[in-house]
Amino acid sequence: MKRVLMYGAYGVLYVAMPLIVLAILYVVDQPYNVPSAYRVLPTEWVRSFSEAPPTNGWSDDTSRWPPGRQDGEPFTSVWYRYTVPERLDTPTLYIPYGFGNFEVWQGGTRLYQLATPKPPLAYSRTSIAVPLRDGDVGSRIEVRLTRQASYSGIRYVFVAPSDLAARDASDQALFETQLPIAVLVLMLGFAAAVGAMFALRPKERHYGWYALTIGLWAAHSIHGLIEAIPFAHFVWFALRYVLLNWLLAELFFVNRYFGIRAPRLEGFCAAVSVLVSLGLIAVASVAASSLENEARFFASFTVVNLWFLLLAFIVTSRYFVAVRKHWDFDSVSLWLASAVVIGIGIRDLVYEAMPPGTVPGSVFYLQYAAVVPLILFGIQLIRRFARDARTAELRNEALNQIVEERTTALEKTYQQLSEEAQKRALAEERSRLMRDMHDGLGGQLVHALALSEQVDDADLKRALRLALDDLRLIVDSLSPTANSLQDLMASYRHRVSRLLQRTGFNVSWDIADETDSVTLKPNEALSVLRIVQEAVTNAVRHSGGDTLQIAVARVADGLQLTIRDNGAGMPESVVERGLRNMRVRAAELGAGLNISSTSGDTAVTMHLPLAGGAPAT
Amino acid sequence: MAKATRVFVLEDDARTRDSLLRKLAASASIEIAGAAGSLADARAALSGLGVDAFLFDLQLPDGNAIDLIREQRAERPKAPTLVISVFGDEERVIAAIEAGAQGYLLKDDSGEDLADAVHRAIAGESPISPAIARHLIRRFQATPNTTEPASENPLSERELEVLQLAAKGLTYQETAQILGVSINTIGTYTRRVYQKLAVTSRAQAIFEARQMGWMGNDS
Repeated sequence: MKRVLMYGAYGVLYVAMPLIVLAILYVVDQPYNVPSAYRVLPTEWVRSFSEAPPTNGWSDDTSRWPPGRQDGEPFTSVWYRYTVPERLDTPTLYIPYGFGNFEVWQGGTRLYQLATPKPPLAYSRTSIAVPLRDGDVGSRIEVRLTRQASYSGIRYVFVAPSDLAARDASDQALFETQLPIAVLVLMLGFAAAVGAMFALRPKERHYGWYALTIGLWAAHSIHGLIEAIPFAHFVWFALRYVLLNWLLAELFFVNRYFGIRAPRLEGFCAAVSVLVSLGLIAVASVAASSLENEARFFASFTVVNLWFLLLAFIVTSRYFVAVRKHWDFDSVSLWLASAVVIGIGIRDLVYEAMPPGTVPGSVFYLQYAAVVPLILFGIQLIRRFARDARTAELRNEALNQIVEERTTALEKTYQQLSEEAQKRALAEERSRLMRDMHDGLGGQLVHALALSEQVDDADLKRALRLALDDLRLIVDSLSPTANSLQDLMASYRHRVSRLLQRTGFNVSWDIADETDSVTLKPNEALSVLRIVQEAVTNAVRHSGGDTLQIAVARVADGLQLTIRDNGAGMPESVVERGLRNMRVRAAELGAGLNISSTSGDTAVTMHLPLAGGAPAT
Repeated sequence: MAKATRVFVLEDDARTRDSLLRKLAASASIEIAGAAGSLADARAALSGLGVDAFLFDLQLPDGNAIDLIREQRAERPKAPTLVISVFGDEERVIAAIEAGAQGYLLKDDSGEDLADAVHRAIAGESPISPAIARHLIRRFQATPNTTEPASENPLSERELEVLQLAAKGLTYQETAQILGVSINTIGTYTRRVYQKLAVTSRAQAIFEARQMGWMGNDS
């Protein structure tokens, strides 16, 4: 029940929409017309090729159109007779539009003739306003419609004041020529714009189908504006109907635009449209050969019109599918627009087929009505394209940014890697050095020491031992396992404790635990060890005391290293030399060194500042 | 001291070897059981020889002494091996300890020191340098995420204390004083740590081998 109500609502909307639009068009259409009071109807007609109004053969049967072209005739020629209905100051014969060539006669004189006759079947319209010579009531006017292939009727003829006729003629020009040209330019503009979009994005097929749709419709409109027919008249005439295939293009477009592709339906419609179009052209190409063929040609229009009407309904049903699927502004507005186009198309068909006056209005509306949804569509497409382009640009920017970030990250990684590689190379170099010292230099020194024992050279032995001790300091400073100052001092303590014990000194070690978090580079470590070694050696050899204090403490901004003994103080020469050696090493470290030597208390104090005051970990 | 300790020396540098032998011979308590300059000579000389302690240089012209240490551990479990080293902190010394060596001595040690080190080793004491102590602490504390259930720290609290003090460069004597135990006890602790290291490094090796699929899955 709910479903029925819903579909009922859809149906009402679908029918109401074109009626509303049609009503609006009629309101707009009315004011431009010459008041119907001035309209005249023919009183008599005669088919005649006479170059002047015939004197006999007139028929007063005006209930039907005169018959068309007969066998053997190159074109039609029908004379119509009108009479002036009322007295006017500036009587003017006014035909808003007609197809073919007109002549206007009054009292045996030709008042109007087209300078260059149009070829038969030209689809362009003619609008004429001819001032009358005799405005008396009952005065007769003859209008000849000739060089028309088939059609022999004149829809509207007025005898009106010249100003009214002139005004309406300019309205007609506006509606029949200027406005269509403007619309045409607009359509071609959209076709070009969307066509260009399609060229840029060939994957977006719906752009292409839209461009084709509006292009075909534009061609359909141009047809009515061209007077010089480039080829066989009937084929030219048929072409106007072939161009109705814009509906087929629209079907393809709608299905793609709304993502509701239906390949079998599309295939069927395309096949029928091609058949109908080819059939029409085939019939048209032989239409001129006989009246029968001509009749067949015009009869085939019924089939063609019916097919394209059906196609229009298929298109509108696709819009309906889109509405059911998306229910957004796009789908609903376009569905209703298609309803309007169909409604107006039907009105135009009836308007063309029925005798004048049956269907209200003065012009065909479809040419305008059909354009509106297409233009709306075009605007929508262009907006979408612009939005896509903007999105693409934003995405591009984001992508660029990502690329930049990745590049920076890569560079950083590369840098880290190369730093790692450098570190590794350094470590390798270090362990190579260590190996050389262990296996080579160390062993050789021991060998030399063994030799010196044999020759019993005390000086040589001492020199070699000093070299070996120094080498041990170097090895300890380079050791990859001794990471902290505490480790370094531990190795040193281990190496010297036994020797110190033998000297008889009472040694106290005070290595602060905080030194565990202080790391030194190998060269710094070696400098520290050598300074300690020098100070300890001096104390043991020269002080003459018996107490030795070795302390390393963490102070506010660095390290404080103290070697203190209770000896008699060092001889000046030793202080100087020791000072010089230690100062050189301290300077390398950027450390401050102080030696105070008094009797009973000699202290070597070194202050090593650490970067940032915080231990490097 | 009823009987002199029989020492076997393996050292490829002839001068150093002579120097070592001379220093050792100077001690009344030491008897030279034999000496060699290469692994092959050592193996030949050792067959059927009575030995109480080994002094091995590690890097020899015909290879590394580590395997020989293992062999002698199996053959003469009561005879300790001491590694002869210049610095006492080489990775190779640690590897030797892992293979079962009980300590090291320095090539330039005096005769007194050498004899002392040998006697201490036989008595069950192992000398230890800060570098070795650091290695041991790391080795035992950084328990790898093995599947071994008993791989929680295998060191006793005391053993760890001893190691930590050794890592700070303290002598046995100083350590003994701080911990309030005899110097012999410290030596025993160190010896035990060395043995544990040898055991765990073997377990570790087996574990790693299994991980790499070298041994059968059923093992």
